[in-house]
Parts: sequence; structure tokens; C-alpha cells
Amino acid sequence: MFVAWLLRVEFGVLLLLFVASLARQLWQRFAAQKRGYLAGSVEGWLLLVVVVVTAGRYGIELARVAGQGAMPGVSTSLLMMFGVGCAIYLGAKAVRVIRTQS
Amino acid sequence: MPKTILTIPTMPEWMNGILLWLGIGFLLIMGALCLLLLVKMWKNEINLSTLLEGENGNASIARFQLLVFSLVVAVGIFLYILEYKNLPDIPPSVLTLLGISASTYATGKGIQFSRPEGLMQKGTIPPPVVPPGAEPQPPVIAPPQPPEN
Repeated sequence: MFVAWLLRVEFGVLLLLFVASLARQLWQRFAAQKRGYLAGSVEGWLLLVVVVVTAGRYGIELARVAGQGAMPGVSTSLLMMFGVGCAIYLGAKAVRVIRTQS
Repeated sequence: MPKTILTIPTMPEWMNGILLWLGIGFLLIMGALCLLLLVKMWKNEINLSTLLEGENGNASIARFQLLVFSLVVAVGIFLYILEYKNLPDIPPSVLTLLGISASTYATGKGIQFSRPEGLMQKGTIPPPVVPPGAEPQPPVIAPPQPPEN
């Protein structure tokens, strides 16, 4: 019982510290860059919104069903939304490349 | 034919104590190793700051989404293992999600590598197309632009 408690506390804290360290490094890099580092295309911002919504809703689902004996799945509508977002992103990127080359 | 009765030998009591201390020792060693890595990350001796950058130096949304979904699913599996001490059955929809995410990253990378401009650093002009047999020219650094009012 004590080992299980130690496993949970120790690796939970370490996971949080890892995410915090990674976020800190990424933020330092972002702060050191000039303007335009995040200047992206419309399809990039669209994909960002889709990713945040999908990951956020799945994260909430993970937290909600924690301790019920199974990992939750991703709903079909969420999967479809993410797939369409990715397809739009890749399609727009490919069209831009073709137009640049021609 | 006489029946054979299988008896499973029980573990002696003193072995429980040894296993407990082995478990504690293993966890402390692993925790110390992880802490060492985290300290190196904090001191920037392990630098992951370019994790989200594309080849042209800009932030890449394709890399970001792959990182986000990998982390979310990894945290889910981690929490399950902590709770139940065994590996979970990963639902097919989660595998599909990871597949779409990784495919988007790989395809985006392929599109980016299909033209030389996608690989150039910011502020450089791509070299002109070289005819066969001629020597290629190095890329030219663009002159700084006057500030806009």
C-alpha cells in the first residue's frame, strides 16, 4: 500500500514538474523570438482551435471517468471534427505550395 | 486413477518485507534519476525549446498538435497504470486520433519539403534554379527592411 502511494505521489509530481519545465523552455524561446514567430496562416489558426477543443474535451473526459476501470474513447463527432480540420489544413497548405511553384 | 491435488506454495512472510523495501528502493532510484533530468532541463543543459519549431524557424502547428495529443494520451495511460497497476486496453478511437495526428504531421512535413522556400530560414532569398552542369550559388541574406511607420 505504501509503495503504491509513493508511486502515485512521486511520479505524479515528477510529471507535473516535467510539463512545467517544458512549458518554461518553450516560453523562454517564444519570448526571445522576434515578431512574426507565431504569425501563421488562417488554416494554421483554424487547426490550432480544433486541436485545443479536441484535446480539451478529451482531457475533461479522461478526468471524468478516472477510476472507472477503462480508458475513455474519443467521440465520433470529435474525431470527425479533428479529421476535417487536419484535411483543411493540409489541403490549404498544398494549394499554397502549388500556387507558389506555378 | 488417483486425483492429484496441486498445492501452490505460499510466500514466506519475511519475503514480503524484502519485496516492500525493494519496491521502495526502486522507486527512490527512479525518482532520483527523473529529478536529475528535470534539474538539467531547468538549467537548460537539456534544451527542448526548439521542439515546436519548423525548419524555417517559425512555430509549427503540426508539431504542436502531435505534442499535445501525445501528452494527453500519455497522461491518460499513466493515470490508468497508477490506478490499476496494469496496462489499459486503448480504445480504437484513441488510436485513430493519434494516427490522424501523426499523419497530419508527416504529410505537412512532406509538403514543406517539396519546395526550397519551405526550408529557408527567415530573411533569406532562395537561390535561383541552377541549370545542369553549372555550380550552385549559396543563399543570399536579404538586406534589413526600414521600419514601418
